[in-house]
Amino acid sequence: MKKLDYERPILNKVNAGMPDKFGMKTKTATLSHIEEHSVHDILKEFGSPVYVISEPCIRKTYRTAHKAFSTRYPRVQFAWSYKTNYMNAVCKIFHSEGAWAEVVSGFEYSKAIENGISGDQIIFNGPEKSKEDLERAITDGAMIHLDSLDEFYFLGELAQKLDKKANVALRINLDAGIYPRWDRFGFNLENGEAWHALNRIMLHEHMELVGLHTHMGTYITAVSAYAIAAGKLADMAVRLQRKFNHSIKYLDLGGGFATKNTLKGAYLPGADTCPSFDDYAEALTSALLGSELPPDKLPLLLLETGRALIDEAGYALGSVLANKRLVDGRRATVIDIGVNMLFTAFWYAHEVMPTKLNSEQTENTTIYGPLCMNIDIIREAIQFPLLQKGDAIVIPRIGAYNMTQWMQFIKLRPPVLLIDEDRKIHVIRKKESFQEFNAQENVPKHLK
Amino acid sequence: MKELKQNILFLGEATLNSYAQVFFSRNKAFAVLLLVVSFFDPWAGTAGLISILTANLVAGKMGFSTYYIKDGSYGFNSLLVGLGIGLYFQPGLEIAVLVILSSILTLFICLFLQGVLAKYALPFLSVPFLLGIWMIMLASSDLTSLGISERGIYQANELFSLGGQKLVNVYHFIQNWEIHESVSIFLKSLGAIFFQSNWLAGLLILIGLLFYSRIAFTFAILGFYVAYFFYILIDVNISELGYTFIGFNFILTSIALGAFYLIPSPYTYLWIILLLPIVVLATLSSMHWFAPYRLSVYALPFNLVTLLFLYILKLRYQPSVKLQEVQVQHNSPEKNLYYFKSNAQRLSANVVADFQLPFIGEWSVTQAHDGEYTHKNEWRHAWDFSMLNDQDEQYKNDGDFVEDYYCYNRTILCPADGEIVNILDGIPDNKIGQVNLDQNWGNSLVIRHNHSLFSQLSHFKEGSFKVKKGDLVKKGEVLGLCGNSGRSPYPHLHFQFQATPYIGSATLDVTLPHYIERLDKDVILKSYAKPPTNTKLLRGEIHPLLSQTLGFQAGQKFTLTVESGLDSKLVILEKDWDFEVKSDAIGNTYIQCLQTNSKAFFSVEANVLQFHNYLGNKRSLLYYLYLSCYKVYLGYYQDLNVIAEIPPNQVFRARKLFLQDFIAPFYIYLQSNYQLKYQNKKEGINSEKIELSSKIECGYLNKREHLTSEIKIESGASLQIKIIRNGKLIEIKCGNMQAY
Repeated sequence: MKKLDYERPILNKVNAGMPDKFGMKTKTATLSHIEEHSVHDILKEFGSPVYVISEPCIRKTYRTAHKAFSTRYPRVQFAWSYKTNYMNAVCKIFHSEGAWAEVVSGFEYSKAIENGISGDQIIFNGPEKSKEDLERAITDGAMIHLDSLDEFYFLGELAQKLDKKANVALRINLDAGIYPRWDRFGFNLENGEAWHALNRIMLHEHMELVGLHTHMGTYITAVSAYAIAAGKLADMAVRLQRKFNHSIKYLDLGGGFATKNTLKGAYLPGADTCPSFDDYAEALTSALLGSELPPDKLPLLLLETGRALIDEAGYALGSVLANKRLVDGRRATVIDIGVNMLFTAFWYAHEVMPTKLNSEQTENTTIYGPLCMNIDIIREAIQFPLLQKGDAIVIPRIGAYNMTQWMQFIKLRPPVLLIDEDRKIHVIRKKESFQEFNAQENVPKHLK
Repeated sequence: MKELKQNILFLGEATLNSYAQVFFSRNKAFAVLLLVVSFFDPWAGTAGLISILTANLVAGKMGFSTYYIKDGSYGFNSLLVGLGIGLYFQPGLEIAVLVILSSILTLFICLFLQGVLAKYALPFLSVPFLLGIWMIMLASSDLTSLGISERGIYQANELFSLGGQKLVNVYHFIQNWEIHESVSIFLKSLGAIFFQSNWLAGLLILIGLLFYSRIAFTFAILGFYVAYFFYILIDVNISELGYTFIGFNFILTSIALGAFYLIPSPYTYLWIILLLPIVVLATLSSMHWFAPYRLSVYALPFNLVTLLFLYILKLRYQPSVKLQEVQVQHNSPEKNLYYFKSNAQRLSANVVADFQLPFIGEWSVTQAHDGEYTHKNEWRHAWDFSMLNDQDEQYKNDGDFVEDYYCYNRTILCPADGEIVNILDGIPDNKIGQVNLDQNWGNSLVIRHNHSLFSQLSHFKEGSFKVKKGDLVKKGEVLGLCGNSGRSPYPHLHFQFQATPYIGSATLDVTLPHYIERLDKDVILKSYAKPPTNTKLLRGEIHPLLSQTLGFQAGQKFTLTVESGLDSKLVILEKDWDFEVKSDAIGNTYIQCLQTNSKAFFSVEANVLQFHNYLGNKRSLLYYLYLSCYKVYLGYYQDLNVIAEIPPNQVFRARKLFLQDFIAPFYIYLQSNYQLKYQNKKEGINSEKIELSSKIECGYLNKREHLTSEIKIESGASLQIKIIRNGKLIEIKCGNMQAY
């Protein structure tokens, strides 16, 4: 007979039959398999911790999003936001579904080109664009989204020198009725800055205005904001047509769609508050179709949504390192996934799931990462079951930003796996090795 | 000098056409043959030629339409009069003057009749000839001093003067053949059209006729023999047919009504069998009217019956599809027939030409015409549309609320340009499963597309209309949102065409011009059809690049350059080809090749470029553009399949068509199928590339590839087509189709 698992003794207030505030009992959800692969087997084969990305999930999410928009507006184009996750394999999945690329640095630009995207399918955003970056973008015909007047002057000079016409779009920040208002990117609409810049672009010999762009913020749960922003951009396009007889090619409404992750401090769980793609699409396209844009010459609708397309497809797999009791009596569990590989833990109250439950009992627990650093907290307080050292845990919905904002801090970065549509596992990024990392360094002669 | 050359060429063509026109043809070879036949009697032939030249020159100098002069329309009646005079009188200068005068008179009668009959869209046939020749013949008793000819009576003499003893021997040799009396009468009757009384002329004309048109050839024989057997049936003396100018009436009537002015079909064959006895009766009676004046009736019965029948056909209250008048005259029964067959659907379809489905994305037909729920009786020609998910369900969750339905709250677009003539709002959405029978159309509007065609869209969401009564709306404009008002148990869009502007008018049976249908993974273009229940429909969005490059507009000019593969067998050796898009007097648009004057007729409607017809030189580059882009959907859908049938006369050589032509009114077995596939699209903001491939397969049972082409369209409206024909590659290119 197999020895039963040890269950440590806990003291819990008796609240048998007491429902939570939604009338339901709190039950810890478990996740034992990802795309038919057991979490245990994955950890056994590839070590702990490890990232897993599901290709079927990416494709399904992309198609749902695309369908939501393309069944409401005739011309829709997604551009994959590289900064959200620029694993080449991930980018290529999006590109194979038809997405273009949205990059914010020369590095990302090179990645996009490497992934087979042509220059004129690249949206070049961001406050920093070097001379070399801009020259390449002008030559390739990329869509350069201007962020400031200084950039406008700089780009103008470069384009003149190259004797080429740069494809330019204006990044606009506007009041869409939500807080906070991001006014640090681009030109403000309400104070006239945007029109000031537009007039200059239109008169510039070496610039061709191809689009208008706004990106209001991130994790926006108010769909009405998109309707307001779309309406304002459409009006600008109509006015440009009247004033300069110039039809722009696209309106870029940016991204910022929320996901089912719960923000810290949110009252309701993200799964309940997150609008669907249909909700966003409904508001946004209704505003465009209801505008004065001519129905036979509608501009292309560009969307740079990143987070909402990839978050759901990513998982962080790890294991329990130790259990502790803190001085105030709270329980603490240390796991091998820290903020070094889960940067989003700073703003999300990530769900942490065991792979199986030995009992229904849970305890108020703080989950710490493995770093020798006080800030390394994954969850401040969570009703968590009693796990033991070595037990596997899964953190779902971590596909966005974690594989780009990760840190080489204390530990090396873990490997990234991809489960393809045939449920085959591929290592799409190797585990970083000491040798590779050390090879970057140079010790001056006198210290050798 | 160049002008002189042009004038001579013009006159030459007009003259030849005048000969061919006697048999409704414009075939030059046939014309030359007829010219030769007319010169069997050199003097009569000369008189005929003088007549034609006179008529055409006078018409030209007086400033009449060069089109009709070139066409031979003004010349052929004068030709016949000239031939008649030339044969009746002895040669002489006075007669030449007489010929010129009578030719001018005949021309005037022509012009007069053209003016009168044009109003009724009727041809003047050979009525001018009749009036002209009768006038001369009535005067002939006063003109005897000019010398009545005896030619035509002694055939051997004539033949001797033509070809000496040899020809006479041949003639006697053939004369001794045992040919049936009817054959001899038939051939003589054919010859009589050119005032020849020997059957050798008839035989030559018959060969020419066969060369010109197989259908006309069969009708010539059919017409004659129906009359012949009717003569036997009513027991009238047939032999007089042999030496009077009468038999050709049956032949000409049969060709005119069976093949030329009507689309040849099994029904025209039946009609000819019915009509020819009537021509016989008309002939017999009219001969008696003219007997006192010692005049022949010539072609009177033919003119009488043909005009009578053509005119009454136009008065039909409900023209039958079985007996179709020729709308676009190609001067060849075969061409008329093939053109008609390939365009019948388009021409007969009752459609709003530039129509697109009123929604975005993919919707399904939940109830079609003669539906099982509500599309019955007066309202049977309507469609209900709703949106489905991948599992073919209309709703998510349990479907208990209108919001669960995918189509609910969706934008409804204007299907075609028009005016909002009626609108009804203020009816709330029903709960799922309930219907509002008091206001059963729900929130609805009616759009007037033209004076007699309206469309009604119903069951909108309350207060969602973006238009108001009296608004002029364009295709694609937002009308409102899909709702669940009126007799609507679950959200859907009701759509119908009607003839009156009221909400709830009786429906009209109208087809949709073009729409895209999805069958599992295949996307196909349907034309002139009515989608049945459960069809998955896509509105079909235009792709700016495709419409810019292939959406030809009148006034546009472009140049195609042959990059490689110039082969004189396929294309005239010329590198740069200029084209201009034009439209004719009745609004048909066509592309004209400026080098060869070839024309390719086309239309761009409901996002579809469709060629209808090609006229002219088949070694022009335009011909290859016509074949490779025969039907193109101007939007891009991956793996979209466009199929069409190209009329056989545009693809097959005359040799192959020869047999087909005979039975074409009954069955067309030679088929050429056109297929266009949407292969690839690469899009950037400034550079787009679309790759299409088309092929034409033709044959009877085992089809073989006739032509394949790869069409590459890049931003800047640049067009590149690689055509493979007979194993040879032709590459053509245009840097910018919109350059002008």
